[in-house]
Amino acid sequence: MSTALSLLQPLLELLAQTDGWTWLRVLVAAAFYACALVAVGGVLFGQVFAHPTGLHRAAGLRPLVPVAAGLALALLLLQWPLQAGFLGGGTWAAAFDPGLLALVFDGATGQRLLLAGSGLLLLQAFWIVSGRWRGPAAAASLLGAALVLLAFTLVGHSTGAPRALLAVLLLLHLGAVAFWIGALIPLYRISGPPQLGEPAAHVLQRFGLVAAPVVAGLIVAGLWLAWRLLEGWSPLLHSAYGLVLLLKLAVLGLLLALAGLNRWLLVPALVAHAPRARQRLRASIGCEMLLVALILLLTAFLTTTTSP
Amino acid sequence: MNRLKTLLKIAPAALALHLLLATPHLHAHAQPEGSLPAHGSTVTGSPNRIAVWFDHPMRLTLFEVSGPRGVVPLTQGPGRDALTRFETSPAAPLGPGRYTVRWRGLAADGHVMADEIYFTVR
Repeated sequence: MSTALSLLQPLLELLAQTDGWTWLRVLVAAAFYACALVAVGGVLFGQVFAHPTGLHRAAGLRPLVPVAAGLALALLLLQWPLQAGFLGGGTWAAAFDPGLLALVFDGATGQRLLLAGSGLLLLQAFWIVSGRWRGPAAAASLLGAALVLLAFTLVGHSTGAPRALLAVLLLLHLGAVAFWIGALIPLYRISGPPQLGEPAAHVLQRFGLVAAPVVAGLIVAGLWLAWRLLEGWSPLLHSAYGLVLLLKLAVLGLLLALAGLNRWLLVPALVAHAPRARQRLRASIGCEMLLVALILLLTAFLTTTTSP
Repeated sequence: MNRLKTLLKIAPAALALHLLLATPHLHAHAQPEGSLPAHGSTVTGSPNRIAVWFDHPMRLTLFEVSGPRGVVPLTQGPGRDALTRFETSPAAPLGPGRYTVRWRGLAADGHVMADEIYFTVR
């Protein structure tokens, strides 16, 4: 018991130091990650799977991508005064102090704000992605998605040396994460109406095939990134950062188990028209969404409060 | 038209690669390296100097010392310039008791940093 408590000591100390302002920053960061990744992942899903127009509509990508991007933009802008407020001691007066706002904007955070903001604005082109301007709108959306992903590499530990390697690892990791997270809502939607029939079943099967190497890449890039940042595995058990990372990996394990259940049991059952297969698959995807929300919350806590 | 379509397809990847390679290798993450008095230490009599130092430049935005009588007035506050060491003194000698140094700052990589240091005056 005492050994377990002493192992958890760095995390307990960190939790004791985390004030209300920091929790607000964590929640806003988690919501930003969720909205930005849903928007970017929605673009990727549209490119890879949802070519038949009916399926594109059923997946609900057209409102999903630009609305998620709009919310992400609002949350991104909210992070700016929240950071300034934290730097000034956690007050609203500090949040709107011109000197602190300028300090936050001047440097990596400002670059990230401009790059992610431009990308999220470009994602509004998705409103016209199935109309006459389909080609340019799709290209603008892809460019927007790339800029948003790139913006994630501009702030934090991944900007240390060797910069290019860490940035590429983070881009690979985030691209795979966005692909997975962005697919959950469209997959949930198309697995509902029975009239979508074969095309929807085909997309669900194809997603399982495509997702396997993507998720493998996500894990390899994530573990490699963690190893580079932690400079070994020992800090996993001896630092608050390592302990939260372990928790995140445990939730990821549950998520992988659900993904495996979907691929090898629930999707084949749906294809075989088994009774209640649709409901079971939708419930499983719903649970995946909850676990993803928990992972994003842990990630936001990790990046906001600790360092490796 | 086909050439335009190809250009539009590769533009995001090309721009991403350009930004990735063109961003200067200037951002470095800063970590606190030590403090005076040291974290968890007990000192006899009021310390003349209270300091904190980092392995990379940090723009300190808050440096607050509090003790048994509340917030301690200091001779100098942080100037928000990038520095690797910040040093100040209590405006009046510190009485016996447990003190907390709370600082916040912005590292060059854009990461917001914060820490608390404790020491006891005997």
